[in-house]
Amino acid sequence: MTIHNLEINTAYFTNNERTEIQVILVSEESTKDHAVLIPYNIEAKTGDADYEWLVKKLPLDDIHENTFNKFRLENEKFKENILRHGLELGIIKAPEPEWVEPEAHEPEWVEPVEVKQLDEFTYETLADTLLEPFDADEKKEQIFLLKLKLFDSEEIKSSTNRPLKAKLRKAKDLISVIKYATMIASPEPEDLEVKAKALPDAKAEVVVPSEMEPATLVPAMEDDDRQPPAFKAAKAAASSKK
Amino acid sequence: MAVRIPLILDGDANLVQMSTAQILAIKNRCRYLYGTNPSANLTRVSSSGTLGAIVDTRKQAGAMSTDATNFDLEGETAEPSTVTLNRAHISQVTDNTSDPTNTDNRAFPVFFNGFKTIKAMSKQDLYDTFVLDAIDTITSANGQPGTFTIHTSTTLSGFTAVSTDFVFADTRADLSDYTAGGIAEDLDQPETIQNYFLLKANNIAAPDIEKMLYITDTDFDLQEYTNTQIDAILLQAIRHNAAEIAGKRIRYNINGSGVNLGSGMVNTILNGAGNYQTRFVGANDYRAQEFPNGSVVTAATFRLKITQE
Repeated sequence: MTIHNLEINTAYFTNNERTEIQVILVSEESTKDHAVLIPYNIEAKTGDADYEWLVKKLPLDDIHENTFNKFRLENEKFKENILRHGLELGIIKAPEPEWVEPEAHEPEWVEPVEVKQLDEFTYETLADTLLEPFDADEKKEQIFLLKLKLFDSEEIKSSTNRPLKAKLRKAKDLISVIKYATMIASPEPEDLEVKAKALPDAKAEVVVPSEMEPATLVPAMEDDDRQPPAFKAAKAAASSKK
Repeated sequence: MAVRIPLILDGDANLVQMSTAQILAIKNRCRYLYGTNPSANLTRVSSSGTLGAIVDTRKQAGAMSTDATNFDLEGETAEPSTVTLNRAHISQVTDNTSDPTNTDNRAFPVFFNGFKTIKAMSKQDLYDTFVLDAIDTITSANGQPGTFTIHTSTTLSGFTAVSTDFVFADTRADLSDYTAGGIAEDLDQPETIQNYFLLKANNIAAPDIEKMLYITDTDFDLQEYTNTQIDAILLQAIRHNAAEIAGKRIRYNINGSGVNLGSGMVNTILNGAGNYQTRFVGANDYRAQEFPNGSVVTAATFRLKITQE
């Protein structure tokens, strides 16, 4: 009875509060050659029979993931539309096609330029922003876009640490987002061990601790080569004062 | 509240108390009987449904502006506005009922009332033993016999469509219909995103029940009810409670209290501030218009609910 015998195609949240879920069901009218998909809107509330049924069939984590993917696609589509309209109206200038000199000889090797580099300004901004009071309502959109970006990164996308990914998805402020993203991308050895114990096939996820650099041997702050230019400059200035 | 354990005859014609499973079968029989003739019904109406209006909103284009010398700027053209449709297509009809008559206080099933005493249930005993639990079950979940649900299609296993006309339709501006070349475009050019229909749950199969006993009116003997006799009593009892007894009345509402019945009805809308477009028709005719645009967002969700009140 009800929808519980229908096959689920996908499901995602439809509001920021994550209280409404749209499930796309394969209707009974479907044939072998033609799937008829119908939406069904469920209240994400413990005790609701449809919600309880859904999360048994489709883990909540997957529903969150579907939601991110759906919003990312819609976001991209929206951006494309804006760009197209901007070009049509002449508000945005189309990039000039690059003139390529016909090469009579072998092209010279050009050192690749890294476009996105972290400079001292970025570090300072990060340090300032990370710990300042955070208005979750005001920064909701920025946090959402940051999470989209993070979930696009290979480290997070390919991570199998579902509990942490779920925490990252639900994070509402900058410090939590950074915290969980860091924990996924750079887990502590004990986290890996704990996770390995929780897995049925423990060996599959274990990173051998001996391969990791022992942090106590070389204090990180003394390793100048690994510091940003601002740190080096500050250190040099301090040394000259002495 | 007095829940009684009714008596039946076993295979050797001894008087025995019904088992829990046998009593549960009677409660399910009550649900089945309610399904044959519910006291609260929903119908699809063309307008003024008693459950009230469900609001569908959508954006429409702003009015076109024309200028003889140049295009009106974005700030000078009319903004897209919101079209609001109040859809009131669900009506609730509740029957007037009367309670079953307890003739000479011995019309209802008998039970052991202490040592070696047999007594007929009171009307309240009858309700407490069978009917109230059955109503609790009916109002506890979607798909119970004789109740209603909302679905995005007119077909769903276990249900029958009340009407093939929708009770709610979510519409939005159809962006593909608005083109700069078509300025002046019609302001309101909607598309239907999703229709929602009212369906009624099919009844369950009639559960088999044991034959309970009653005291005859003439010689005070014990006699087994026929199924027809006990069905008439139970049907009247459950219909009357579900229709008129405060706290047990089965009622439907939209977004009030109670259990969700089927799909939520979602009113979606585009959230953009307007897509400014221009069209040069010829000398002295510079046209500009703002079309709807933006991302799809949920403006509101409406849910049909069942409750006891």
